[in-house]
Amino acid sequence: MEVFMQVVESRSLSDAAKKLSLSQPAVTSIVKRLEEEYDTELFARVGKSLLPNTQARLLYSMAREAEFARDMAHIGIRTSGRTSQNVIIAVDAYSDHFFELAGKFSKAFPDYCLIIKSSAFFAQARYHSAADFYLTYRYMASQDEKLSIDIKDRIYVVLPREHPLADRSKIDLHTLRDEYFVCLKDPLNKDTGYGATYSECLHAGFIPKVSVAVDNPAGKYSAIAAGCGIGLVYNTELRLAGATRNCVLADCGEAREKQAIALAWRQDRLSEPAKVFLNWIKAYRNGASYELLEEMP
Amino acid sequence: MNTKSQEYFLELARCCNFTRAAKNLYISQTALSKTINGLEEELGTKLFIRERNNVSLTKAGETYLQYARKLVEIAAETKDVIHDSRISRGTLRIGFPVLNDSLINIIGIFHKRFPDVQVRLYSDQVSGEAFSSSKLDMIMISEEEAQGLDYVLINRTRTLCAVMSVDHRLAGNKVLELQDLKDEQLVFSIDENGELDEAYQYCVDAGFEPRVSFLYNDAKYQLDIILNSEAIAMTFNLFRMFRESIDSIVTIPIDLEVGVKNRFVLAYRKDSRNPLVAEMAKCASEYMDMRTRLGI
Repeated sequence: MEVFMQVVESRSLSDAAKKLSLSQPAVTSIVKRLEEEYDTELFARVGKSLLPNTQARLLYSMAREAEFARDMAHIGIRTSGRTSQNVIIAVDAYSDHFFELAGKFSKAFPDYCLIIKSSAFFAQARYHSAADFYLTYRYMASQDEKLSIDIKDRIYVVLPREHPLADRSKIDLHTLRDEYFVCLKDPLNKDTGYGATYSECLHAGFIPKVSVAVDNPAGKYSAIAAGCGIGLVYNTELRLAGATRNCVLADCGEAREKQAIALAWRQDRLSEPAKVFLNWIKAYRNGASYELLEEMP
Repeated sequence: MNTKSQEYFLELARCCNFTRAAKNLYISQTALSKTINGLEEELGTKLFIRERNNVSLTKAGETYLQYARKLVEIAAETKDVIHDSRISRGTLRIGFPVLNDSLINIIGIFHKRFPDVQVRLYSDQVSGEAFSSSKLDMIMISEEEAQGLDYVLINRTRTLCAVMSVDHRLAGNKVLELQDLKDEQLVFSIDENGELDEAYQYCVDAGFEPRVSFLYNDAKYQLDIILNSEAIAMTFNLFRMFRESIDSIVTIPIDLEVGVKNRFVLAYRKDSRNPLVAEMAKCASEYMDMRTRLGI
């Protein structure tokens, strides 16, 4: 399986063989054996590179999930002395409010360890994830049990404090057309390569000039604070931007792309600790007081 | 862009004489006349009226004169334009293991000098070994890993720090001992190889089993966890930017024998073809000089 994963990542039999210090025929025969085992073709040859087909991508994602579950089993056992109950949450939609809930839960349940995992990247495999829950867009979880957590519907601009517009509380997106932008990269967005806020600019009628492209929100806000440009964020991700020194926020109105964010799970797979977590969140939503929740079993 | 025939044409039009033009161009008269004939063939018309060795422009030749000049000018400028654009409108790819104040501030200085350059930051490709085969122009790595590369020093020491919300009970301390974290809720990372944070072992070595309240496998969630809970993360002071640029978070050094390990550098290949690499290295040196002068 390790060989197969390497072939998917390097998209070439010879590169994979080199990375694994194997011969190319050895790699070829392992891939062939997998194709027989799962009774499917896995790769299409395009020019010099091998492209994984749908089945190969699915197999890859599930192998990644299995790998993660295996690693977590080791880590879970090693750290079980004081936090024996583990709940794994895969995150592919960002929500401040969810992290707030997680923080409160953790305070109330000191023997729990919450494991926050970046999500499986292939939607079909997500259903078979190593995670107990996934925080995702509601429409993505159409077949699952789910609980709404947050609504992403407004857009804000993050400005360095010395910016000429920094004293305004409301700014029309279009006024920002000549600015330089610090953008989050999104390799899943095949059209732009950037996160959804980039597309909000396109809808507002301009192509943003990207001065810095970064893969981490904290890096984005630090770059803004250091004078590399300005940035856009949704209402569901204001906390960190607001906490960054030298940054101020202004409202840019309704987001074009509105999304409900939900916590989704598979009822038939819920572990005991996961049930406790879920019941706590449900009770919290129903307005149960914090002290009462703390005493819940 | 090859404009040899246009250049020959212009010289001949200027001299009005095959022998002189050939001499000025350091070529034989045969070569010159061959090139001019070729050009005339290509344009489908005579450009010169030939009278023995002397020539004069035809009407078509006069029209072509202005275009020949344009072609030569464009060709001459192209190289410079391309080179300049690689500086003023280029892309620079930098890999970094964790966010760092200095690196971000250096990029801030760089942006003011080269506003139309795009800097792309990659947090997932971080080893010196991987750098050689990557598309990265520069990488932040330890000094040891940078052997064979050119580099600018951007971080002096490496100490273990506790990172927590400003509201935390322990947030007022100047320094902490590992023992102080014995009963605290802690946050640890899982790296890409599925290994638990090395900080976990420090706790075990210090004689206590840490309370693991949160684990994460993507660094971008670390701050969200700390901001919203009572949990403390342990990390090396490469994360100092948290103290300097995030108000709601404090970073407190942990008094630990293993302390200073190695220094971090911004490294690049000696033979890098991207002209921006040298410019970024210049910004980094200037920034570090400024820090030294200010005694930071």
